[in-house]
Amino acid sequence: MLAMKMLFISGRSCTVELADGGLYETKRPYRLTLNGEEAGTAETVVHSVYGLWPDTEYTLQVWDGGEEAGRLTFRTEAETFTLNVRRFGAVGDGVHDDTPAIQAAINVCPKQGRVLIPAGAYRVLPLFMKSHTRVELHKGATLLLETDRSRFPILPGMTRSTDETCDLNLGSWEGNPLDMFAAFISGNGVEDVVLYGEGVLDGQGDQADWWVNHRTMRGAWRPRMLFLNDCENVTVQGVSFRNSPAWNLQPYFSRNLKFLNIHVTAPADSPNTDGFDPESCDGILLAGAHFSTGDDCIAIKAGKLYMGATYKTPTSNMEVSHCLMENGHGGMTCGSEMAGGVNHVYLHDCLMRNTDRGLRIKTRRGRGKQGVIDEIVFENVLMENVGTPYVVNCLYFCDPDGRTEYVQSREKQPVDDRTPRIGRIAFRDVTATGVACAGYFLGLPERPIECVEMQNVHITCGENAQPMSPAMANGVPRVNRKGLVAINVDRVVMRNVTIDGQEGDMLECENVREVDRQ
Amino acid sequence: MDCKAWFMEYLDAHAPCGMWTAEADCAVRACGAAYRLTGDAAYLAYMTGWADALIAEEKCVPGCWRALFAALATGEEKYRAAIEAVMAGLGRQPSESVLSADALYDELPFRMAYEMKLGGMEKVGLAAAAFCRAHEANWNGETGLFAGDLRQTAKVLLALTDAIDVCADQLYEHWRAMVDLYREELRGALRHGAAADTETEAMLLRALQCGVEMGLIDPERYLPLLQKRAEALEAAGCRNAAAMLMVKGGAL
Repeated sequence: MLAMKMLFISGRSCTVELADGGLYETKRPYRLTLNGEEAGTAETVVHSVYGLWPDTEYTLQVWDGGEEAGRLTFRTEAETFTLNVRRFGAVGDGVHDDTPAIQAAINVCPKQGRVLIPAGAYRVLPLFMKSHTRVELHKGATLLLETDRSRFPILPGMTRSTDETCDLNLGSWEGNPLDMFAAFISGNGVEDVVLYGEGVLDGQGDQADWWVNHRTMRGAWRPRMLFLNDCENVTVQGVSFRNSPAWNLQPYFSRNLKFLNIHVTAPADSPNTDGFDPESCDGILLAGAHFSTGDDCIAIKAGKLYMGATYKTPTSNMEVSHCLMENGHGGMTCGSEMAGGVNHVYLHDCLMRNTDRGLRIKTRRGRGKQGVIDEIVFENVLMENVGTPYVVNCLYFCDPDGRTEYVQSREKQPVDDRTPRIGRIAFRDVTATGVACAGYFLGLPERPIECVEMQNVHITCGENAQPMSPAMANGVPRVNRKGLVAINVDRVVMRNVTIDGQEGDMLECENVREVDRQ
Repeated sequence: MDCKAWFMEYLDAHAPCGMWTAEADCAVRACGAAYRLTGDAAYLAYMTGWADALIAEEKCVPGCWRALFAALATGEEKYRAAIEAVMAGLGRQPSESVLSADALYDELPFRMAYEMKLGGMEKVGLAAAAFCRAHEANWNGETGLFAGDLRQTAKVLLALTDAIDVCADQLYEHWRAMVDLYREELRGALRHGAAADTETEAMLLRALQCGVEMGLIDPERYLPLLQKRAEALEAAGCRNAAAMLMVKGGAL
């Protein structure tokens, strides 16, 4: 029998995991039935079913040919009302501004109610979620984000409290509390929210001027597709995100979040269109997602020095499973804004294809003592045509001062409040093909990477791999057919590790205290 | 006479020369603010005139940074060379002895402008840290004053607003460190009411005005105070102070 696990149930949908050994796609298609009725075909390990009826018991059966491979019985969530945005005046012709109608429906939606956005093209400005609501983007529904930035609301980075004792942080840009245009969909302090369905959010970055002079702040920093600030118990299921003006999904100082079966795409040359950037969040499940973006597919953040030192909130307890990362710079990145720390991240059963790097940890002197990256585990991952599967770079030359002697020095600097730390990073059951450099671990001389563990790791250098600089730091050359490089690492553990096709040693060490190799 | 006419008359009567003075500093500061508000080339010309005059006499000092950097925008190499010469005289790293209000005022805004425009932002943190060091050494929480003196406090506040103004808020931790100092020192200074001498009062009010303009402090709370004290100061009739105060928002 197939191992089945229910990941999420709403009033109208569910998401189930069909663990047949596949990574993103199942090893074979499975026919589904619901209470004996045909319910489509599952071809991905994490699969969502829509069109359910609230407060109803279902038995989901999975069929492998004529054989029953598994079944689950569950009850859908109750629902109070459905508010169809057409009843609120939305036109859905792609021309009319449907913002007021959709926002009104959200604002008046009663607890456990559902806002339904049926098929159609809805031109909108940023929308704001409300607690205890479910918003369904029905199949065939596309929300088109307005392209005129002058019409966007701005969320201020910091607003001083009336008694001048603290700040309200609403906007964010690359780890600092800065003014930003409101996201396509924003949640501010909301809880118990579901955004689901087979519809599309199109940020129209290709139609607007967001990607032009993108490094220049004009009015405010660029909007994201989804920004959840101080939110709790939020689920995003099934929705497709396209052409984001900047980063796509950014949960921020939020807790207990699920992102299931989402699809995030942006052109390969679109600037900073990271797929998923949780920042200072706790408890995230990202399952069955597909990314193809112009930057990192997943980039785990925890702010720059001010936010990290002030709020001391790491990104913790994150699970990534059965995802497909394609065409981005990094499959999964930690940093470089990580001053609050990143810990207990478990990525497993994923496929990375044609990304520059697989796991990429980026930090630098100046991120601060809260900036601890620890317990990052990759398990059962296949990387195809990934330039460098593993990179840990503690000399990342980001930010205006990133190339200064202080940041880039290869000499020991004093360990102080500005020094970040890398703890344990582990890779198990990982296969990578078509690589230029098997791995590059560059720690700080004054605070080496504590432990890199590799078990059952098999890497094959690519016949046609392009030379690349594995880590963006001063003095790192472009390489090809290179083995593992470890510089300033306390301990390297290697169990059943093979590298094929490299020129030179399988492992090059510099200032590595211990290599435990079997 | 309307405000702009009065301003222009003042500038005509005080042509740039080869000696940088406190009054020149006030006039150029006022021109900087006025140029930002109006875009009127006459204000830029006055600032550039000062840069030219000081370069001709080889009398450029860090304190005239506003004139030099305004002129730098013209793209002429001589301004860049003059700025580099001033920086070479200072040394790239702020000295730990930069602790007095005068030293902060004369040196740190120049350093910050240099880092932002020419220095690749490399040492912004050191300039911000110099403010913190001086604050720690000289600011007294009980009196709310820097070096026990309201005039020194006003000078530090102006230096802070200058440095904050030119520092990119993307360098947030440095920018914010200076903003926090500004807020703390301003609160302390305001505990003392209006300054007895009009120049100190003018400096304080200009620092207050800058804080409101840059969104560092709540306009709803501080603008009425600013307006009240500005009216009192104008009634006192200090010409030098008026040069600073005439650039109040909406006056031009």
